[in-house]
Amino acid sequence: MRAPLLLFLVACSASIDDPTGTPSPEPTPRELACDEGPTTASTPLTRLNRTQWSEAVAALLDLDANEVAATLVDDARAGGFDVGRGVSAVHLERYLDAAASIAALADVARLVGDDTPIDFARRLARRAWRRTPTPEELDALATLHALGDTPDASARLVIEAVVASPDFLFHVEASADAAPGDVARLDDHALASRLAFFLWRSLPDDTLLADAEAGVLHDTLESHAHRLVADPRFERAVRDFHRQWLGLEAIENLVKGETYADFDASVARDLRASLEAFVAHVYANDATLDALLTDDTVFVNARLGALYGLPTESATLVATRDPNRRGLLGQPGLLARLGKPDQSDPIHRGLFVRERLLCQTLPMPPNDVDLTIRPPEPGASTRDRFAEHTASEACAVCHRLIDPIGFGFESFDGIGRFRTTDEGVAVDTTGEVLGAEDASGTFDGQPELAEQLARSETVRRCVATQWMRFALGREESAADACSIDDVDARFAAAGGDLRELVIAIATSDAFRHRRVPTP
Amino acid sequence: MLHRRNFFRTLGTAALALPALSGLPRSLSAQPMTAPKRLVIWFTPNGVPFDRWFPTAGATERDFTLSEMLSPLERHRERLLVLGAREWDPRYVRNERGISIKCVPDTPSGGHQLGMLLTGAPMATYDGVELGSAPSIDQLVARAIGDQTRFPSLELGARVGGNEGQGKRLVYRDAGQWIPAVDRPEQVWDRVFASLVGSPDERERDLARRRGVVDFLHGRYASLRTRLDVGDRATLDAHVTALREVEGRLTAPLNACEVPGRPDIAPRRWDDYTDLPDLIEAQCDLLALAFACDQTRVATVQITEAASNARYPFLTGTEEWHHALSHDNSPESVDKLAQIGAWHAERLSGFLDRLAAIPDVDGRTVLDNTIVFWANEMADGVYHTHQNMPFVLAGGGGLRTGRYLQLEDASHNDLLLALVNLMGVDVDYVGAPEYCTGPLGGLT
Repeated sequence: MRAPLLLFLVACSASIDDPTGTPSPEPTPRELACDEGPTTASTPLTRLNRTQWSEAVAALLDLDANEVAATLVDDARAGGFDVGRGVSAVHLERYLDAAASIAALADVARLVGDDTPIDFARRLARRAWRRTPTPEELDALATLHALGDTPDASARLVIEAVVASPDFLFHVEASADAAPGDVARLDDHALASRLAFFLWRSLPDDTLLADAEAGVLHDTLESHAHRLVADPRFERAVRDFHRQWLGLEAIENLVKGETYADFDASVARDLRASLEAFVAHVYANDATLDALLTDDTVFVNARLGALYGLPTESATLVATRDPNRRGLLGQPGLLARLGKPDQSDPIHRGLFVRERLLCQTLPMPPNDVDLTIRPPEPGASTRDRFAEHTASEACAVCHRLIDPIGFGFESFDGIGRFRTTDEGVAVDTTGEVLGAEDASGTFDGQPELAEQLARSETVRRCVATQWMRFALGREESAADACSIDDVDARFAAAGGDLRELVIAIATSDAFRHRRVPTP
Repeated sequence: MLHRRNFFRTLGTAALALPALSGLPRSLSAQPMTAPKRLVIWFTPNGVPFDRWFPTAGATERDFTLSEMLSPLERHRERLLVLGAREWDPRYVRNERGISIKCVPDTPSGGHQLGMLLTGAPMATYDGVELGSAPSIDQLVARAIGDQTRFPSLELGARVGGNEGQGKRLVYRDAGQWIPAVDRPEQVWDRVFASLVGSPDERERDLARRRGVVDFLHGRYASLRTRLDVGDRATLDAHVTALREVEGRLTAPLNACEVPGRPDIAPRRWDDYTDLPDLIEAQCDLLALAFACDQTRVATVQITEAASNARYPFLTGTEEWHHALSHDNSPESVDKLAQIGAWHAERLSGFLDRLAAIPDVDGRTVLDNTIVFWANEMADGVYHTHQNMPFVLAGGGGLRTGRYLQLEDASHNDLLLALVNLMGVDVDYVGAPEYCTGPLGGLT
């Protein structure tokens, strides 16, 4: 038995009766022994998500597939990350049309080279389906090839069919020798795919497939994980993880009101790029959780520099340092995203910390409350106006888990600019994290909050859990707790090294096993 | 901006003088004088300000005065059946008045879950994704009559939202099986009309290619099925069902009819909604033509999404978001909401114009044989209520129209059941049975 797993939905209402007035997430007792063989939950059968589809097609045919991928029905979201789930005739039509469009774009002469049609079909299918095609499948491809009027048309038909095939579309995982409910080791081909789609968002390469075909991948998994993380393609996983974890598209799409007249679409675009540059900078240097949360680097170009008081002449983004900001939570892009069109937004800033860094989900506000907040006016600070809004006990039970964190960010306005006054009143940046185990405590200002979170085991475990969701394409369950414990322990032992974290996930029981689904 | 009158010209078809239905569908050839019934669900979001929406009642059901928001429908007055409450007190927004959606959970809730509106069932979580937990009524009807046309149903939309979320998921084939709306008119055209154009040779070649690929895929799905665990086969089977539906369209008889030109409306940035008028116009034209060609008899038109943050600067002169406005009961915001609502009523009125202009096989019009249900996910936007829902029925298909029907505490499930029954689907309840007492009376 190990430490209890946090219950992810914080029961705000349970805290009403708490005489100390300190709400806390209720631990769920866990009756899971971790020394009785691997445990994990079922992962439902899913398709490649759109990012994976696009990267896989690009790798297969050496072309840019983003535009075609955008025509696919958008992914579902489980555990905060994109998964290819749900089906209708519309979904199917989009996959068929996308396969035809991709086939039309392919440079067939270069792809086929000197291969005979059947060799080309075999090579393409093996790469796309992550396994050797059967003779029957090659016959079917040959039949299709014969339908083409010209060699070029025939090759395009083969490409279309291979890309439209379920063996390309699905994350095919099966356990022929295990019974429903059993925990079984992934077969080598499924493991090769899991690994490549996790760390590269794309198809396994020949080196991985060779070990899968030789049946030795479970033994060489760790070295492959190191290899994939050292490869430039790992940047895709870093970018894709942070895009979803931090909500980067929302930054690029930000629109602000007249209060922030200088904030336009170019600034929004730059802010996303700036945040991506910060993440890349962390991974290029320390690559630790501590650096991600406390590094005071900010990337600015001349436009951002002028707006955010960090002057530079550079047309491109350059690193600068700002003592008022620390890490992710101090990045102008994230603070602008967590800002209202005309003012800061303590509620969403607090919620972001609660959900994304502490892995706690709060319920939505009840139906019949007025959610309107008094507009900004001179003499009334944001803190005062928001405090009015949540004064009632019914609101306060949850909001005291949210707002006191968000108030700590008050030195940043609605677009994430540093400030010392708010509507003529000196900003008060004192705050408190409640009910978050070792992340709890009072602080004054974003830099102190960043340090407090960076020291916390709760935050470390949450970041490990977020990456786990991203890796498995599903939310974790109690049956994954032993794997999360192991991953977290290795992450901690490596001093919060973020590359070590993904390698620990890739070699964890939950990653290399599956629970056979029950009908 | 493209206006309706010249849009038909742009499409390259005879303006509103649409051809009488030709190429009778299989099921009707034996009894050519009976026209098929059709169902259209028209969706707009975010609730309404009650006092600007509901009609003023007169001495009788027929004697009512349309509100400012509904006034653009005045020209179809004889084709309307507006639903409302006998009396309501705006101070008690949660009183059970008019029609109430009863499967809404009290808390915790955002109140904008779209998956309850047409299913009459609460939301449920499927592998971590929140979805409707029963088939939507359009799909119940499509199951019953969908095999008589090339498309069992068409899901159309305009700016239905690009982000993951329950707010845009209106239509469900079955519990947890969401069907997306196609919100680009050119994609609707590609689905419905593309195979009608080109020389016979070209069409034959294209068909051979598509059939070849589909045949190949059937083989691959069958082979994969044997390799998968039993517990994963249902997911794969749902894909095979979808593939069969697509395949069926390749071979279904294409009724001879006018083919419109392919719409061409440039996509806009996500926060630029100035294309909304053109998109709605184009989708209405395509749906009217799809009916005229009897390509389908069941359709949904989803305009934006639940909790939509569309902006209507071309109407209100401001860049304020629809959902933000709906949470503000200041007089200025309510005025803008009324403008937006009236504008949506005018879009619907324009669609009814089109249906009224298409002669049907029984000598009447397509509108006479179509039930149109204008639905909203919410009643009052400020308080997120689901009592006294702002629902409007229009058209014919057995509805007794030209009336304002005031109801006391009627269940939304009973309305859904009544509509499904009117469409000839013989079921006893829709959605969650505990909220169903029997088909809502007074509609016919």
